[in-house]
Amino acid sequence: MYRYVVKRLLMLLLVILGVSFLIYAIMDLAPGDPVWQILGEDATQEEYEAMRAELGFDRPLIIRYGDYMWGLLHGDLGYSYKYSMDVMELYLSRLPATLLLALSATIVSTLISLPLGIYAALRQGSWQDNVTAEFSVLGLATPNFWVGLMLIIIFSLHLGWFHSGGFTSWQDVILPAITVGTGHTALTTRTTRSSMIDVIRQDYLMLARAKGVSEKKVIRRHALKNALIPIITATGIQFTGSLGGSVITESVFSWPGVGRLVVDAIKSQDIDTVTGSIIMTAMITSIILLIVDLLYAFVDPRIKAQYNK
Amino acid sequence: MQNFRNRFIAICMVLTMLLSFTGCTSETKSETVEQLSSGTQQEAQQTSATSDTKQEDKSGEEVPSQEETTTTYKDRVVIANSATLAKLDPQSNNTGVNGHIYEMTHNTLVSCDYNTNEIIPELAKSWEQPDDLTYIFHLEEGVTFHNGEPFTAKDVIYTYQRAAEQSYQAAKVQDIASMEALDDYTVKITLQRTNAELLDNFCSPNLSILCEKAITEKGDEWGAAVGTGAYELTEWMADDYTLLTRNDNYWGELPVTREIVYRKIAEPSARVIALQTGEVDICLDVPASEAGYVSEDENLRLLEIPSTKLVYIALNTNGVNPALTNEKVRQALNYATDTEGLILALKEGYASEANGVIPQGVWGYSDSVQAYTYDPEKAKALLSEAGYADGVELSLSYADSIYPGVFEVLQAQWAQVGVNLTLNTNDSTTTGDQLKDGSYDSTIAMWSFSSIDYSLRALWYSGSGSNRTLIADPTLDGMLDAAVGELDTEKRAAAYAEISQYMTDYGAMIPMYIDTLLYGENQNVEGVVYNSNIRHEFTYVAVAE
Repeated sequence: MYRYVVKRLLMLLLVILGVSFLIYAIMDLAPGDPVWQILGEDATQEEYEAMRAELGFDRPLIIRYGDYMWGLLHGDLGYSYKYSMDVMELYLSRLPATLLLALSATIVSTLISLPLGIYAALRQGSWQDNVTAEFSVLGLATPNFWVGLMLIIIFSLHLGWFHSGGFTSWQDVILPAITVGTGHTALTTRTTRSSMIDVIRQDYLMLARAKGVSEKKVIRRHALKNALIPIITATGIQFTGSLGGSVITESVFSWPGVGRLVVDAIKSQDIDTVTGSIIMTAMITSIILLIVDLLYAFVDPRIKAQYNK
Repeated sequence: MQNFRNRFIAICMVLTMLLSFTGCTSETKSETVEQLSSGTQQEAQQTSATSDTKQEDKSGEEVPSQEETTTTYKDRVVIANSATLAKLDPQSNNTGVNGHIYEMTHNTLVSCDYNTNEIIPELAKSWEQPDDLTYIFHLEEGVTFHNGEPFTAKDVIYTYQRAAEQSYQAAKVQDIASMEALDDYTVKITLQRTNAELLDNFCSPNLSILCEKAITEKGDEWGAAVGTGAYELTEWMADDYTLLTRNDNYWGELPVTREIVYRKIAEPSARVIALQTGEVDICLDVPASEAGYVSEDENLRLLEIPSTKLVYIALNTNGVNPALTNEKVRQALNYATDTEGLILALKEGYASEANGVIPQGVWGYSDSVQAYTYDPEKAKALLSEAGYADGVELSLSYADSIYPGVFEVLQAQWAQVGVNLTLNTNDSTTTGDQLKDGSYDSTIAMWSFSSIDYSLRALWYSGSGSNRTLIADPTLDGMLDAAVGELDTEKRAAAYAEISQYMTDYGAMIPMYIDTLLYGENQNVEGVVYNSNIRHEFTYVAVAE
């Protein structure tokens, strides 16, 4: 088990190295010049050269990258030109909102899709099954942008139950969480359904029923537990996806999350902010995926045995 | 067959549920309307107000029993815009949004009443000019910065010296030859040449007076955020919100609002909804398509403020496209442009037509300038005179994020006179690169005019970074230099009228429209000074409860 964790953490280092170099190179190759972005277009050529040298943009890419990584080793994610502050400080100020939204969205999506998926699997081929299928397709097909605005119009404008945006109290997460969560429901419902269908056809369930175990217990104890692996995977992927990918929802609800930060930074060529934030998100994502993998072991003793090899 | 039937039933069920859901919402809606009218409206508007001001709560309760003479004001006012403060240091940028905040947290040496264009005292209570090159400013005494440091002549000198080293501000102070503190509250500024616009430059929020000690102690960012203004920056979440708290030691008149939140709500519809729900008191930049929601709401007010923002097509005269070096071709394009049609297509009518290249409302604008009218026949005649009777090939470079789909209107207009316009859209950085190295035929550009010399110099002076027509004309440069050195107001106005006519005839700048600022605000908002150059003053904003 420990060897597995250590192996995965070493792989994480490789991932960070790869991700950081890729992002750094892409930002460098992308059109536009960050120095002009910082100086403004009325700056003179001399001011431009001076600033370019001051920021080190006159050195080759590989040296700048090496410098950046050296700083990273010392916990320095770089400096944001756009906001004139440390990227670490900037990122950490956004992280809580992002984590809260990702977590709440995952809870929303799990609360809806788990029962729905199981229900559909048990009534495979019936009209109830089809209703859930249509619902999940609807959730997947409706753009987050539209769902978000509709929720705001109904629950903020007309009912006045929630704020229309911003993050000032915990209630503010509800509407964005529903927006992101319903988008994810489709995949998790479908995964739950197909995974359950696979399991309930197994012989050991028939045996359990033959032994007189109640249907509820058969489903909960025997079927669901074995069907959980793909569900956990789907949920884990969606959780990590919402860490950096809820840009549209964050925009609609003015949610101070990481996604919006990165997109704005890309637009203004704030290289350090982009690289630093993506490295942090990659790190958090890898760690969460590792935790998900470790969860398998708790759910499935066979996998635990494999880890221990 | 069985499967098809099941699917059909399923779709019907989903549709029924959706329909019944809509039914539910409209029922509950009428309930809320009742609730609102029975008194929760104030609560809804107070959503983000903190309730720690017992005094105001008390007087708020007493209002109904007393005569309606006392007005209570909200403790916290929320302003929403498409952006919030991006830089703490006023000198590090020229962005209008940031200026709104610097105006509240800082003071400038002198200030401008933009209705009359008169320079009025701020930190300098008076000034005199012994000769054309010398200014002596007498400063307010007893003023302190937010950190408790007293404000003195040294801070003025420090601020302008620092500005001279900042690329965004250097132009505003470039004519200063020397500065001297005659005593703690008197500054003498000597110029190297006459500059009629020096005091206008000092009004810029970007030249707000900074505290040297604070910058030495706290660094360039947080140090520069320390000012002498009526509000103090207390919380700042970059790209999200800025919280200002009233500075109770303010030397001037104390505002009634205790806290001002300047929020970024990037999504325009969400911004307007926040205004409708009462979470926001003032909503800047209402998109033309949403203006109806604001004007129809009886609790809100739609403001249409004519601005000094000129949106224009810049024809590159540096020879990338040889046709554009011909003055007649440029004039023909001016005659071929129907600005009225463009205003309808672009702004749903919320804009005004420009007369010449300097917007109405800017000091220096003159009625006497002969501008172009829409005349396709004349355009055709000019093109054949110039030797382009068979037509002209042109391209227009612009970032795809601005005005999607409207340049097709221009394309059609120009096609009528035989100009084949290719639309060359890219992402904003690629377009930015093209603009930087001058490799474009024409582009769309905009400029918010503040002081006239500063604006025209940026737009037309040889080698200026914002010079999109890439005009490099020694005659024009000479005219600009002479105009700013002219201290006689009438002669100076005549000089700008002449420059404007010169540039209009040159034809490289085709004015499309002058933007109208569309803002929405709560009916009870008072005390804001909206200026057409976007330097709005929110310091004395108050919202009656």
